[in-house]
Amino acid sequence: MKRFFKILGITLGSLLAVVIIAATVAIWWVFTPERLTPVARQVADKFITCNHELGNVDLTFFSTFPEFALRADGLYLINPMEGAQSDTLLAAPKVVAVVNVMEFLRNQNLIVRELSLPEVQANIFINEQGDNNFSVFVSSPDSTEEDTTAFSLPFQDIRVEGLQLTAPQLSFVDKKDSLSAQLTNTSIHGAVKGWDDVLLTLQSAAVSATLGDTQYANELQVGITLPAEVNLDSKHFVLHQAQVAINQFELGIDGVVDLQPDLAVDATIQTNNWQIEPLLALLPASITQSLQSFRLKGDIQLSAAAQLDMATNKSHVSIHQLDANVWHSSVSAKGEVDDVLNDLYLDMALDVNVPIRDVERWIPQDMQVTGAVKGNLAAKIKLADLTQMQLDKGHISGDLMLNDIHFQMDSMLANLDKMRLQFTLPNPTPSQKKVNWLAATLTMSPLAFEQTGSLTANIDESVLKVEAGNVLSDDPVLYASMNLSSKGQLVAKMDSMAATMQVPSLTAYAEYDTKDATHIPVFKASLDFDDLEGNYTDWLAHLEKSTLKASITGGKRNKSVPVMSAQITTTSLTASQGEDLAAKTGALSISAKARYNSKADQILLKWNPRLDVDLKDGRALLSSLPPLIEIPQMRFSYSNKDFVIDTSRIVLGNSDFCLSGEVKNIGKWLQKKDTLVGVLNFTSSRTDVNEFMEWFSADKGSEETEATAATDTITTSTSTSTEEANPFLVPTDVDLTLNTHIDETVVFNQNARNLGGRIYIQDGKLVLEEVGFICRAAKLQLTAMYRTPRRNHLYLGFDYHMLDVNIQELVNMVPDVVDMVPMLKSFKGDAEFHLAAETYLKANYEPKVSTLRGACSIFGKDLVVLDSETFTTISKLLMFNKKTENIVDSISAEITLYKDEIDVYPFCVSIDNYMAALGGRHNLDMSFDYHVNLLKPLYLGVDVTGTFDDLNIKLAPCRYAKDFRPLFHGKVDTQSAELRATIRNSMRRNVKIQ
Amino acid sequence: MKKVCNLLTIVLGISLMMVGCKPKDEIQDPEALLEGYWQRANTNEYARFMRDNAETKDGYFLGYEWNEDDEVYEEDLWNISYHGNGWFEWFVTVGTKDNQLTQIHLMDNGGADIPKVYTIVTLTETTLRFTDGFKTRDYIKTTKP
Repeated sequence: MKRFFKILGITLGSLLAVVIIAATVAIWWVFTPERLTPVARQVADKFITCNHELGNVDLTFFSTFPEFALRADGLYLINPMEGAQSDTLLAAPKVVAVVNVMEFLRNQNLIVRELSLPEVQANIFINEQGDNNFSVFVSSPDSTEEDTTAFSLPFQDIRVEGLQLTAPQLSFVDKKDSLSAQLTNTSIHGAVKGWDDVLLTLQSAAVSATLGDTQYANELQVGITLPAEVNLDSKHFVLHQAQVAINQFELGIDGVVDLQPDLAVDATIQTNNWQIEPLLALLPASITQSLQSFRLKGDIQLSAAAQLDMATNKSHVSIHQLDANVWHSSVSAKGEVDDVLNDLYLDMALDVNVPIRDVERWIPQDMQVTGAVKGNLAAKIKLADLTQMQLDKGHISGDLMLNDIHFQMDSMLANLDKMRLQFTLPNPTPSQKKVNWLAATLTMSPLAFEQTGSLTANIDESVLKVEAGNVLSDDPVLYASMNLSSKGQLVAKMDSMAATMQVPSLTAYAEYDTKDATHIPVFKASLDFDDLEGNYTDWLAHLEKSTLKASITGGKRNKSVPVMSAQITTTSLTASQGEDLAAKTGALSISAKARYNSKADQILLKWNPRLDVDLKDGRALLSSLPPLIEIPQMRFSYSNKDFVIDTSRIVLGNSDFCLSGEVKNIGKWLQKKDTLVGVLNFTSSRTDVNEFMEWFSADKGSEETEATAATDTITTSTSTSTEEANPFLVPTDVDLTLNTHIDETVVFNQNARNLGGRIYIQDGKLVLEEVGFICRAAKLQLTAMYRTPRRNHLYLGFDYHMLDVNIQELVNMVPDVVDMVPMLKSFKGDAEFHLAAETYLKANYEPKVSTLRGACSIFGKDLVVLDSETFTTISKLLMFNKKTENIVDSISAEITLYKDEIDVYPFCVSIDNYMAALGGRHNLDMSFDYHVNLLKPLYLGVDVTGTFDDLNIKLAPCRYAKDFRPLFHGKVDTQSAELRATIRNSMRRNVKIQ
Repeated sequence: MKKVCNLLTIVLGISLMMVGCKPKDEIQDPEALLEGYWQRANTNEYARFMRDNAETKDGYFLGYEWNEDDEVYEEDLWNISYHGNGWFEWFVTVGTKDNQLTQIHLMDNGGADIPKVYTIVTLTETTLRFTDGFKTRDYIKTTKP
């Protein structure tokens, strides 16, 4: 064995020696530089078309062992072009070409396994016309042109299979595409196994590149591995899984790159995990400028396809998958990016998981929101519009789940466990023109909302649909509409107002000027609910099954003046205000408007209400009005301009009435600028006038000023000290007419039935005009007047006519008439009665006797004289027959009242066989002075004087014979008759009833 | 004797006739004397008789009365636009036996006219006395209160 290895060793050594000796011989004697250099230079001349210099060429073996190599001491290509950065295309101090000797010896093909150019400097230039300085190699012989040179290549074919280049400085300038690049400390390795199998690797310590005016690279560390297919003629390159590394950013590219006529790229891109901050630092300022304020941190990974065509200036990137983790958020996106190099347009679908603090930038500065958002978003928008918050120029939609949401804006707070947010921007179908920016649907878990110091609201699970105007625009006015519905309850409290609502459904529209706090926000809302309990200060309210509509806006001329309206339709309302008001209704519909006037004091002038009410089954209790007010039905409309009652039925105290009509000038009347005018129609089954007078008295007389009203006092008859009374004073600025029909009425201590007529207040008078009614007597007409010129000078007068009267009923109805005609106590039967009386009163309603005026006219027939003590005395004196009933054919009496004097004008009575005349004076102190004349069967006179308790009867001459039955033939004295006729006729001129 | 009786009868008859024929006191132009303000004695009751032709109605004159003891004042009667309570129409009837003052008192509501007929007992430039057979009233001429 040992011998075998010895033999083998000697054999190999011999072979090696032979090779070495052969190589040495070839290098030093055969292929010497003197022989190779000319050949190489001739080859260069053949293949290089520009000026060039080639140093000495020699063959190396030992320095390139085990390969033979041709080594040239320098290769310089000079191809000056106007505008080029240098005339020198290539400066290579040394060129080493490792050649395939065996291929050369066998086939005379010069195969350069590897061309090595260390320390190269190259300047590649393309001018504006597209001409370049590196097209200096002959790619293939031109068969059409005859080769006339004497030189012939010592090899059939020349091919470079590899390139190893190191360059301290490489420069590329493309004037045509405004592209330039500088590479520092670059090494390029190329391997060409045919033009369809080219591998190029490039490592450069610093690469800078500029496109146009934009610097896209600044001393980047670049590494490129570029397996490709290359067509130098057409500048067409096909990349197979090329790798580009820029600094720490790696990019895999598969695709096609064309350099003619312009740069065009169609490739797929795959990155490793890129850190965003350093990535942004690499990008040109024109791209990153709009992102600078974001201060993005995180990483991003991209898989995409890109198309770029500089000839048409089109660029497009299809993002297959983009995963980004920015701050605390993660986003996965896919989509399309168009016009990348210019006005970048996004068509992206994103899955997001974002803590809200990461997107604070998109939230108005005065709004703070915390929580997290997870879901998907879709956006079709330009990047510039997105970064400039012009979101309405694109289309953005999303379906997000928000968890643990805490919202705060100014003084508003809201807390929410979970909410699903579906939104579209812009709003494709805005319900109103102004809310065309956003449409959103929020499906919420129970929500707690608070506006510090005023409003708190809690609502069970609910759905909120919101439309909004552009909250990111410069318009200071915010527009929004909403619909909130819940199957649970809503509880809201604001200042001194609170409400609890079951199954609410709220639709609202609002405008709010964020710049001008004096402008009243516009708020319009419609609310439906099953049940509502609410309170406002001392107001309490409970509504069932209702619809509420409300609005508040600023005035058209002055937006700081609130104008409000509200409408309620409910099946039942219960309300109260402290101790002042309690009310309950059945079906109720109220429409109300109000316009606030801060300068007014009176509540109606302050709020200028307009009210339309339709009420059934109402009840109210007012502290200023003692009895319960029952309202079975009411329909009316009210404004300070007029108050129209279509129908109303009210039960008030002892009274009930139906009231309809119209009252005008309420507002001006409250301002003391005009007269309250109205016509009302009043029907009642029962009315207690005493109660109404007690409730509705005025404060001063019609001719009083405030000063005189305060000092106009009365001295009572029992005291020397002044004592102020408080009579009912008729207002002077009221012109109200009440047409009445009352089945039964109570006035003072009288009851009357079927009262109808006109009652009016006008010019400080309260007048009962030609009111007819039926009492226990028959036909009756009353005109009464009450005036109040001064608090202590009140007028009361009446004009009273009764036809077909039953005297006994008359006495019962008007007991005072007996004071004037005492003997009426002794009569019964039918009569006609006219009474007119008036007086002025003191404040305590005590009559001023000096102003007493009155007249009475009585006509009776078929009267029955009752037994009475007085008449019995007279009958004894005159010796009447004593019968239980004595008929008086007729009686006609006229009586006047003047101050304290009641004058009974002489009248004639026929009883039995007697004719008597009676007349005289009756005083208010009940003393009297009557004269009774017997005219049949004889003339006899009797004076009856004194009082009823102290009667004085004595004979006297006949005074009245001349009036009725003159003693002697002659005419009846007419003066008395004329006076009686004057009285009687003056009273009957006012009779309207028949 | 018979003649003496007849003579006595004649003398008696003439005497009786003379008594019955006592002439009344004559008052010259009673309306002029009544015109003006009058105050009832020992009271603050006043009356004014006017003869302004513009206020004449049916040949009557107008006047008014008030009683300040009853807290009724002259301006109360002028504060209304018509003649009512406190106002009266008046005229004087000069008769053979006596002079009569007739006052027709008016009412605010026009319900009736209330006539009062008085017999003038005394009427001078400063004093007035009249009676209605039940009561006598004395007045003293005064200036506007």
